[in-house]
Amino acid sequence: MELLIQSIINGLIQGGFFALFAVGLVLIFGVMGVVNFAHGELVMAGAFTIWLLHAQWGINYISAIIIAILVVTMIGVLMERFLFRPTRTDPLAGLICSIGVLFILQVIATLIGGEGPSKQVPPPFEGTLVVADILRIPYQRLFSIAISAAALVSLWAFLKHSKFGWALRAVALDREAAALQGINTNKVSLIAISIGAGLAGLAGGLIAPLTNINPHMGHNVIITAFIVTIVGGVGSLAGAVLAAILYAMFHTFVTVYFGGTVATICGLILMVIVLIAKPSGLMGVRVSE
Amino acid sequence: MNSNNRIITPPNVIAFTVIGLLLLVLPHLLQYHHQDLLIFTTINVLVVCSYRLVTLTGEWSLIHAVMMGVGAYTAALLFLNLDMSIWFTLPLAGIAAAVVAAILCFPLLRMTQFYFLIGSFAAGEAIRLTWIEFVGIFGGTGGLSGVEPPILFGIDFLEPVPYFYFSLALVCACLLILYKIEKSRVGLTMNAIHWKAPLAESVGVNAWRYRALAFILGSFFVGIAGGLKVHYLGSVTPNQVGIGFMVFILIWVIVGGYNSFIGPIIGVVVLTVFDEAIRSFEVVRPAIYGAVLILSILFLPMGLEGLPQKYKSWFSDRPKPKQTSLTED
Amino acid sequence: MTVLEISNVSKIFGGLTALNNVSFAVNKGEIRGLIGPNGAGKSTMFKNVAGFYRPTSGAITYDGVDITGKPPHKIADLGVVRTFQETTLFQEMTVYENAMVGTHKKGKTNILSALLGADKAQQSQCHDKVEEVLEFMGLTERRNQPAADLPLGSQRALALAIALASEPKLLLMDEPFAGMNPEETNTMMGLTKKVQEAGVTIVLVEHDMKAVMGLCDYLTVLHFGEVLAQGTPEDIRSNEKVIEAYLGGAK
Repeated sequence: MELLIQSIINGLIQGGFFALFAVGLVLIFGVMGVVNFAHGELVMAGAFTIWLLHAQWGINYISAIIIAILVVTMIGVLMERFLFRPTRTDPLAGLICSIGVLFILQVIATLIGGEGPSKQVPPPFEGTLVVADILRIPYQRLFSIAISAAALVSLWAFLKHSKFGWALRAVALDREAAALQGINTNKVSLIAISIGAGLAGLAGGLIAPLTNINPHMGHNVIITAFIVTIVGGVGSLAGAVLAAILYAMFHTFVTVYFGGTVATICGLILMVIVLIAKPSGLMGVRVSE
Repeated sequence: MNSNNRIITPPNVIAFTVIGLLLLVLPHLLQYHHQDLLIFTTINVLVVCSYRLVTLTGEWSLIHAVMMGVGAYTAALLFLNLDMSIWFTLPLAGIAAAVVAAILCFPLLRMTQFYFLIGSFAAGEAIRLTWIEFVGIFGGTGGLSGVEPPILFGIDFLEPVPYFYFSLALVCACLLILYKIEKSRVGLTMNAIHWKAPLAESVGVNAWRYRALAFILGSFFVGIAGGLKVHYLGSVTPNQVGIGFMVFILIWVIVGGYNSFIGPIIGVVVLTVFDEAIRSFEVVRPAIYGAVLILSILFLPMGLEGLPQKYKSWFSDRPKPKQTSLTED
Repeated sequence: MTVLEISNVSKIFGGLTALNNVSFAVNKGEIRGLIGPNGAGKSTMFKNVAGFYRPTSGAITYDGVDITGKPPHKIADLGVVRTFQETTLFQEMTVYENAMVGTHKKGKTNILSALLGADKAQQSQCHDKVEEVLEFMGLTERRNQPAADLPLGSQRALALAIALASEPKLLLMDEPFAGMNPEETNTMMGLTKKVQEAGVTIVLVEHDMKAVMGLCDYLTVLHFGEVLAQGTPEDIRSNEKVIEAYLGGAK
């Protein structure tokens, strides 16, 4: 029973991370039409920034997170301006460009951190919350889930109630029509990737004290992000969040009994099943002819 | 199918003869390490040409590298467990990959474009992770090793030079078949599906069947390539055929150009030479590839094969060659 | 003799009813015009007949065979071929190759035959057909040009050639006259007449009234997804409901 509750909580916390990077991927795909294969590396870049600034140079954690978000957002902006914008008519070309960025970011990380074993960032928030002798939640994880939730809620509010949010949704729905209505689609793309990359950077910053940091950590991130995105529904942010939480719980449970590799295999098979049975995912509305 | 024999022209015959002689002599001029490279390049030519067949119908998959792995693992398992000779492991490697592809057709070919890409990636990863998970059969992350090339007619094919000739002959035979397929009626139909699938369907083309054919045949040939590689290299691991290698395939095809049969071949050869040249930049190499990929997409959309055309249109006032995008209109 | 029977066909997309209980029958050898204001459902009807859409309800019978909901390539096999709105061609292939694809039914082979060259006789037949069709459409001189380089009139002729190469018995033409100048329209009208004379039944979706009135033996008028009126061109021309539909709706 304890194991069950603990797994649920762990799944929820994990889901928070998954949601952060899945939502970013969906936003970029929805507004710009391109699959950012380097999204995992954006998270990795965020984590590496934390390692460098906080673990190596002693800058305080919160400031390091903010800087990480800015750094990764900047990377995203550069990608939009120089890679995605020129290849807008050919999304596959954009995807391949993002693969190029994937390699470049991995090398930069290797150069910064040197080769060798994975790096660790000691958790800035020490101690564990113990609830009724059943649950043990380290404060670091509490912090991360709180920030993740806050970020997602802010995003939701932004999209629903702000002028930019409205413009984002318009462009995601029909780029040409939005342009005809006078919406500056370039600016909207920039905003979309800024948010997407920013969330990835935030995710990296939150994950950093909780995992092993190495240049290839993005690989698992992108796989998870794809699974979550497809299962949740390619056009739907709410779907991505829901799928993130569900998948995280599923993955956590299966890992406990069968190991992480099997869990990922199941996730991938699930994704293919969704692609076959209901390509629009849990909540997506994209109808293919 | 229209103007046949565009290939058997005097200039081409001379070119082929020269290249042929060059290839026969080449291994003797190179050092050991480069002889290895020559063999792997030859095998990679088969890899890209088989990928070209898959993309003829307009669908770009991300599972091709894993299919090579299927072939390699099959050949390795057959050799290690059943002591099977290379004459059998190679065709069976191809058949195994073809069978896997045939099964995957049913889920994967319901999707197109983006979904097919992601779906094929997922399926490939799932297969790779299966190799990692079932350590007893597949050897986990360490993979399988101990595969040896044969001793035929008294020649030990562990030596690079004999193995090169063997690979060259086999690859050339496969290329011939691939070329004939592309130029045949079947190839025309595949091209038609690429350009405008609904139009093809409206005159009776079963698009699904042709996509499946391209996918299965492409997998067959890359499976053979996998078997060919494992018999020389001696081992196969899951990481050899992951997204890293898949990206190489993409780079070769895109940089070389995919508008003609020879484009991807140019890509493999040029980039392999380039790779050797930057060998000393060990750590930075992937980044250089990333940059090459990006620059190719942005500035050389027709690939290297398109360069002659590009130069011609710079020097004359003829209309620029149409850029074909990777996705449909 | 009825060759195409549309019985109570409806097509609903989510909340939108594109076709509502549409019924009409086309006779062998006629040129039937399917007209109506924009958004009336004409193209949707075509896509249902040709198998690109599946009717939500109702039945479509061709030559006595129920073809409701069959996939496009199977319907094409039976002899029902459609052309597409806007110019739809295999852009990067030559005129000759485009038409060759049209001979798919005749020319399809399996891989082995293709590799061994055992299909030479078959391909030679296709070659003859292609030459025949190109000549019929007046495209013989252009046979080696890439399709994308052709002027509009020739492109439309090529689209028709591809369809003809598959030896259809029922041809669905989707706005072939769109964007044509009067001279091109005349040429196209002549070609369409030739196709009818060769024994093909034609259903024509078109906005160009000159072409419609000049070519069609009979008209079916759709409006808001329903059959508004049917009759000869003269009847329809003076039909008050039809006139109101065209003037009342956005044009």
